[in-house]
Amino acid sequence: MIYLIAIAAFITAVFTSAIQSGASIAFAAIGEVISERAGVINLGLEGLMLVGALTGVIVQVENGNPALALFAAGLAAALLASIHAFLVIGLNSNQIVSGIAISILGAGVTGLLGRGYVGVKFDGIAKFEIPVLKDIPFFGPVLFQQDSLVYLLLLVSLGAYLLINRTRYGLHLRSVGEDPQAAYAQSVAVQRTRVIAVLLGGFLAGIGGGHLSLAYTYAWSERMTVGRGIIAVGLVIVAGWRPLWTLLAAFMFGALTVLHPKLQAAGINVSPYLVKMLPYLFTIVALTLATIRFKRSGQGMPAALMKQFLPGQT
Amino acid sequence: MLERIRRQKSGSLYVSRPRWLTIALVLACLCTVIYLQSCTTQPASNLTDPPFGFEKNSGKLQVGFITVGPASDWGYNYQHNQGRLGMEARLRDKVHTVLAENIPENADVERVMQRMVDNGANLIYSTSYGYADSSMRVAKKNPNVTFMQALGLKQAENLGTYSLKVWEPAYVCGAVAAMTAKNEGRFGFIGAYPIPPIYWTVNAFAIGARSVNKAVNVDIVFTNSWNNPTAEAEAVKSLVDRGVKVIYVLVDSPIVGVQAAERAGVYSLAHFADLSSFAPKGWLTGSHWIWARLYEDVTQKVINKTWTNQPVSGGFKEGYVGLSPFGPAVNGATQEKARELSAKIAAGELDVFKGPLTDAQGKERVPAGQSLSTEAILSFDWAVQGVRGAPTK
Repeated sequence: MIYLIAIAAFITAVFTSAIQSGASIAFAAIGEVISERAGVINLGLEGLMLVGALTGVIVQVENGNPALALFAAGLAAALLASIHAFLVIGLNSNQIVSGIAISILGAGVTGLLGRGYVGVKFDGIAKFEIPVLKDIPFFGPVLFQQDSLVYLLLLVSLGAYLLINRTRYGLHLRSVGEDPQAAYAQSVAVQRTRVIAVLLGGFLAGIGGGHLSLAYTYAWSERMTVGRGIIAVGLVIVAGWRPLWTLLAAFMFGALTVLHPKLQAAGINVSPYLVKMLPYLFTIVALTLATIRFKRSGQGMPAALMKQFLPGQT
Repeated sequence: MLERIRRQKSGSLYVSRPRWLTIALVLACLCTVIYLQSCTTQPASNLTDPPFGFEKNSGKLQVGFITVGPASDWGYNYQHNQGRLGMEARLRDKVHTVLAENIPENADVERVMQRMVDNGANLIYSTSYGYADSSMRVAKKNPNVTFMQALGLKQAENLGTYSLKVWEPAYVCGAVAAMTAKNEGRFGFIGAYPIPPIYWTVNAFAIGARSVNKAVNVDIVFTNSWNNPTAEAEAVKSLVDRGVKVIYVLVDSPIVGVQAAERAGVYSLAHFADLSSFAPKGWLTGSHWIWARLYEDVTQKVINKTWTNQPVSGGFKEGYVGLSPFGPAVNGATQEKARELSAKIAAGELDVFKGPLTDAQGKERVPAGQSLSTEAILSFDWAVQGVRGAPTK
């Protein structure tokens, strides 16, 4: 009986931390869903998240208003993403190369500008506990004792779902991602739709980075995203380009990431290297399964992903 | 946007770009490349102003420091820089120091060391454990320059090694923690990798805590990185979830861990520097690395030309380590006891790793009456009884 309670407590702790850990990846991944549905792949999420994280810290330290800091974080990342948009949509460059360049640029710029902010103390975004609901045995801590950004994340993912599937812009977005020539023939502003999608993706990635520094670690450190941006791109594929499933995939990844310290803290002696492999193993396996499933069902990648769009090309 | 699809006379399609745009893009790329090149190469014939700020003909000993991370990390690299500044303040007219920070542990550091030597360095302090092979290679190529490798294990004719006996303050930290958190049995420890520097600290911490309260257990979580804020924040959360009331943070930049412990309302201790400003309520004390004294002693020897390549090490006795300032939670009696323990260790009356010592699996490693030699401590790869979560050996 005691073991059952201990295990239940352990699982609750894992899920609670999973949501905190996965929230930043979820923001970036949902942004990437919007961008990829429009046909533009953005591999610069790592750099965008770093820019968002640093901007959030800077504005929080100088100003103190967390909402402003988050908004500035999103804005700064959107600014960096606009370079990607210009290169890829304006000049029809290779999307993969441009994305990686943005990633490296973001890492370098933030490393340089962030020197003065390593070790600076600030009040981040606190936990927001919903009064009565937080005491429910399992769902209490997991769902109702998180920081306010997690609640924002739930709204954002719902909003992304509605945007893509229930609005006119979403319709344009999907059509541009599947067959831009047909959309162009229907007088959809293809370039503009794509640019907005990339900027939105960048904005959300910036908020994801802001969550990392303002609500999760309460600090800035060079390259603090440790690969989460790249994972976000993979999670988009795992989730089948669907925003709500992306949320789930991100939390799953978060759960596997926090498993390692949780197991160690519980005194369970597993090889740290094996446990640290789990999240990435999960991503590879899930990616493989997802691709097989998509090949069979026919649904999957937006048909025009990564393809250039040139008006008038047949 | 500006490209257009055109049709050749033969009927095939091609992409064309306005000529001015092509020329503009090519020029932009060239300019960027040339600008970046000029930033990184040194002015060729400017011998009076070498990079790094060394002064070739000033008569002072030119000392270069290389750190793996930023001096602003309030941790490992911060303390080395504090040591550099302290030494420079005390040997003001005799030395000129220069710091190169954020140099990664790969071929880059060899380049940086060689450039320092070429620009006039007489003595180079290589402060990161991972630089050991590189400093050995550069030392062999430059026999006229003295090299000091922190935490190194091999010496060369012009390369010496230095370390600190941090297990001494770690022991006292454990005792202070156990005296302050009187009825708590679960302590936590966040370490980077399962390597000797972590083991000798966590073992000393556990032994010190258990010397006050036999029921204390230390749960250790490895983040597998010297600097990974998300892993450190998560490690603190995991330990706090398990009911830990005291956390000792040993990573390059303990800020994140200490702050997370403060937010969770548990006591914190840290390695390297004084982080009391990050945890105003929960800070107890820490293992303070006082490099300034060591740097002063070694540099003075180089100036007097009495330097040898024998390993330099020291603890409380030499003044190379200390206890960080106490936090508000540590009462006067505990502080007195801590000072007493430090004095005993300095005088040689108290040996931290005195037997009998059993490891976490119950096997006796050091029999009663014996003690661990310094070499055994420097290659520590097992956890003492009381430390939970370390890999079994």
